[in-house]
Formats: sequence, C-alpha cells, structure tokens
Amino acid sequence: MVGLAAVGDDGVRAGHDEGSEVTRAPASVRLPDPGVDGDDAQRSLALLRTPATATRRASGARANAMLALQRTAGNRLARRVLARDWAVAPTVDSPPPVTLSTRDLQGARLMNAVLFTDAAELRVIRDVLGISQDPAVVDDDLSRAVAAYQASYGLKADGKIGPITSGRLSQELTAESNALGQPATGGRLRRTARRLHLRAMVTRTHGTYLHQGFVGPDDNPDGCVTVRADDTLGASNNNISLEYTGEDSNTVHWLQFNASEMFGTPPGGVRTFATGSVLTTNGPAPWSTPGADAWTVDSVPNSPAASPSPFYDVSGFASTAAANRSRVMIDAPSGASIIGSAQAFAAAGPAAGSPTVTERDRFSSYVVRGNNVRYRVDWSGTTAVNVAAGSASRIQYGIGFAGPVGRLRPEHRTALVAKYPGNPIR
Amino acid sequence: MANAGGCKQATGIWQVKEDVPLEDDGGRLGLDTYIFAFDGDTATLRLITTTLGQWKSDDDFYRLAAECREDGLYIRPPFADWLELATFEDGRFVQVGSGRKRIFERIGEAQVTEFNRAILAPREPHDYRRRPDGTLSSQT
Repeated sequence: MVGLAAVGDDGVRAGHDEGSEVTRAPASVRLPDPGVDGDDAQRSLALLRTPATATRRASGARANAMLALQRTAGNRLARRVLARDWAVAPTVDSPPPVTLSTRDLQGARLMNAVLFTDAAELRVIRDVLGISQDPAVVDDDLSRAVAAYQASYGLKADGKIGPITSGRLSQELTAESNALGQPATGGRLRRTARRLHLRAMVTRTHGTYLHQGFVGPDDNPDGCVTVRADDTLGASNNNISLEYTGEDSNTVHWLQFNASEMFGTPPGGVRTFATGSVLTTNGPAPWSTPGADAWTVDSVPNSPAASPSPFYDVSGFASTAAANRSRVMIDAPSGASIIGSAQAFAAAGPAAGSPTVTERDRFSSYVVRGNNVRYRVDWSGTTAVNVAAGSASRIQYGIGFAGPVGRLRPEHRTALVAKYPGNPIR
Repeated sequence: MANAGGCKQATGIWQVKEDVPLEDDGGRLGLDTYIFAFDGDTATLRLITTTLGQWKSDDDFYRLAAECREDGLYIRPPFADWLELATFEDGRFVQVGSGRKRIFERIGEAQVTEFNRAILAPREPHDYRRRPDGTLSSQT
C-alpha cells in the first residue's frame, strides 16, 4: 500500500457493512486518442485478454500493448509503464499481495452471488480482472481477483464488489470501450459498465444484500434496484431498505402493498389465524388468512395533506433521496410494536394459550415512473412473539419475486383504486 | 336483560371474556380490541402504527374521542374517521364481526394484566390537530 488509506467497499461483513470512501476516483477517462485507431486498440485489448498470470505483470509486446491502451484511455500524462495492465491507472504502485481468509472468501462469495447473477456480466468482469471468463460464476477466483484489483486502487481488499469497487470497474470498462471506439451504448463492455455504474450509485451503506436488479433496456438500463435487510435507520438496525438508483430517480416513486397475517398454535390445537382486522392509528387494517389475502396500499391516508399520495416515499416518513441518483424507501414491519396485540390474540378466543404468536407481513413494492409500473419486489417480514416473556424476535426478512414488470397485479390494482379512486397507475 | 344505563353509563375497564363463533355476523369486519377503558367521553385503548416514522404514542395506548350512538360505542382513531368499537347489549359490550362474537366484561384495575397496565396511566385526550408527521395543524 503506498501512502493511501484502505477504502472500505460496502459489502456485507458480519451482517453489516460500513464502508466509507477516503480516496477519490481517478480523473475522468478521456475519449480514444485519435492517433490510435480502433484496430490497434483491439489488438491491444486482445493481448491484454490473453490468459493472465497471477500478477498480470506486463512484459514485452504485452507491455507495449498495455501502454498503448493506457494512453488511449487517458493515462498519457502518466508517461510510465504501469505495474498492472489497466486502462485506468492504478493508484497504488506496488500493492502488497492480498490473502483472503476462508471467512473473507465466504463473505465475498455470499455477497457477490446475491449481486451478480447475470452470466454475461460476470464474463466481462472476470475477463477484465484477468481470470478465465468461464465458468461465469461467482467463486473464490473472482473474489481473489477482485481483492487484488482493489489493492491496486487503495480500496479495502475484501473481494466484495460493492458500490465503490463497482464504480472503479465501471470506469475501467468505460475506458476500454472508449479505447475501442465502441458506440456509447450496447455491447458487452458498455452494458456491464452501465450496470456497474448504476450499482455504484447506491447510497445505503449498512445491512445485508437481498437483491439487486435492473430497470429498463437490458443493454442500457435506466436504473438499479437494491434491497438490503437489517439496514440502519435511527437507533434500529433491523430495517429493510429498497433503493432505486439512476439518473432519473427524481421521477421515480415507490408504491407498496401489504397483506398481513397473525397466527398462533394453542396447546394441543392447530395453527389458528387472526381474523377480522387490527385496529391501527389509521383505522382498521384487515388481516389476511390462508386463501384470502387482504391487500392494502401501504400509505398514510390523507398524507401529505395538500395532495394525498399513494406512494410510500411521499405519504410516509421513512425515505431518503439524492437528486438524480437515488430514491430509497425504508420499512420495519411489526417487530416489538406487535407484542401487545400478540398477547391479546393469545389471551382469548381460538388461539388462547398459544405460547408463540407470529406475524407475517407480505409486501409487494413497485418502482413507478409517471404512471408506469417498472419493477416489483415481493418481500416479507416475520416477527415471532414470546407471549409469556412479552418479547419479540428480530424481524426476519425474506424475498420472493423481484424483477421488471409492466403492470400492477390485479389484486394490487383493486386495492389501489379502493383507497385512491380513479388513480391511473395500472 | 335490559341495557340498564345504556352505553353512555357503561364506564370502566372492559376486557374480552369470551370469543365465540357466530354464524350471522351481518357481514361485518371484526376488530381485534382486547381491552379498553371508557369514561363516558373518551376511550383508551391500544392501537398499532403500521407506517415506519409515523407519529405514535410512547406506549401505543391512546385516549380517543368516544361517543355513544344509541347502543353503539364509536371512537375516532388519530388519523381515521369515526368507527364503531363495540355495541352495548345485555349489560356488556360486544364486538361482532368476521364470524365471531367477542364478549367483554367489566374488570377492576387489579385485574388488568401486566402487558396492558399502561392503559391505567393518566394521559391527555388525543390532540386531533396532530398530523401523521407529528406536527400540529391549526385545525382539528
């Protein structure tokens, strides 16, 4: 490490990540040097993409090819052969070898496997990191290559491809695409660079990744959806966050639907579900029971007062936004707040005597731009209450379907117009 | 049994004693209220807050505006319209809905279970100027 503090990438480490950037990204990448044509650059890239040694150190023709590419990509001012063959100059001249422990490797593999599920993207990333494109999977080879790459740029070398590392890799791929004179969009490199760029726009820094996916055209997506469990808000680290990142985030909102059920099993009895409704500060909210989902719009009624909105991030109070970058909604369903209701449920009626009462809240959260539905995340939060002790478990989060959609599910549309008659979102 | 005194005079702490199946619930949606206190003008009971960050009381109990309309006891939740909490019949309150009839009995303070003791704490009536974000509006 050469005079640079390590940068923590925001991966998941022991359940939480606390990355904070202490160095800056290199200067923006230039367009291809007019003196080097695309064929030269292509040949340079081809040489660079030959099977790499462990250290990818340059020599001979490979070094010359690397230098040519680096010059086209904006490193002309460096006037030196760089220690590694990147289009964007490393910031650390001679990084020490990185050794990841078994635990480090496991953590990196777990996190990267949640984030990177697209084989084409993985091939490009593996290739640029100098390891075999195939198998196009998340494995320890990838983690080690990532860690070595991170060390070259003064990042925390943990093998996790979080937002900071994604940003660096996006710059690298953009530089290489520029060097090749590729069109501004489309193609493997541009597609991967765009996805990594959107991943790099994520603002949340705590919690465990549950999902990441993309909104819009496959070869040039508009945005990225990132879901984290056990995110931090105030004093609680048991929240879920759903974040949209993209330059159009100002025009995007979260529309969330909720169906909840409570059940217990009395001694010698069978699982018994609460029926009717739970009385909330916003009025009665119907319980769902098996086979009878009671979906409702998860919004505060008559809020904001001037123009009531069905959007979670507009009507509610747990969201963050960064202009032209991010729109986040945060939730923490049930938890300790339902202890009293659970004890009452177990005190009388068909569930009387249940030692444990469980509330399971199911959600469908949509990304909406204008009146158009673009993405849906189905997730759940489950809390178990120990009736006698009057204590609640942490909220356990789970995720179901998550991906691009073009319409609301019919039951959600029904719930929307029931609460907001005439709402045009379909 | 006649509704001696009627709803308005049925003050005290009321807790579910029985919860029995009911064939004809009139198509009503049941409520999950287990205990409430009624003083003739206000009702104190526990409510859930479903939206993260929305204003809530410290202990989830609220002293709400209440009124009797014939035998029906109506309450006004903090951010919702008036609704019928229970009906006074045969000298006690009942809740009917979702295929069940929940029968309340009047209890003394000593009978209030530990997890509901907060219902006994003195508290001001809810201020309906309170907005969901916690600020106060100039109108009720």
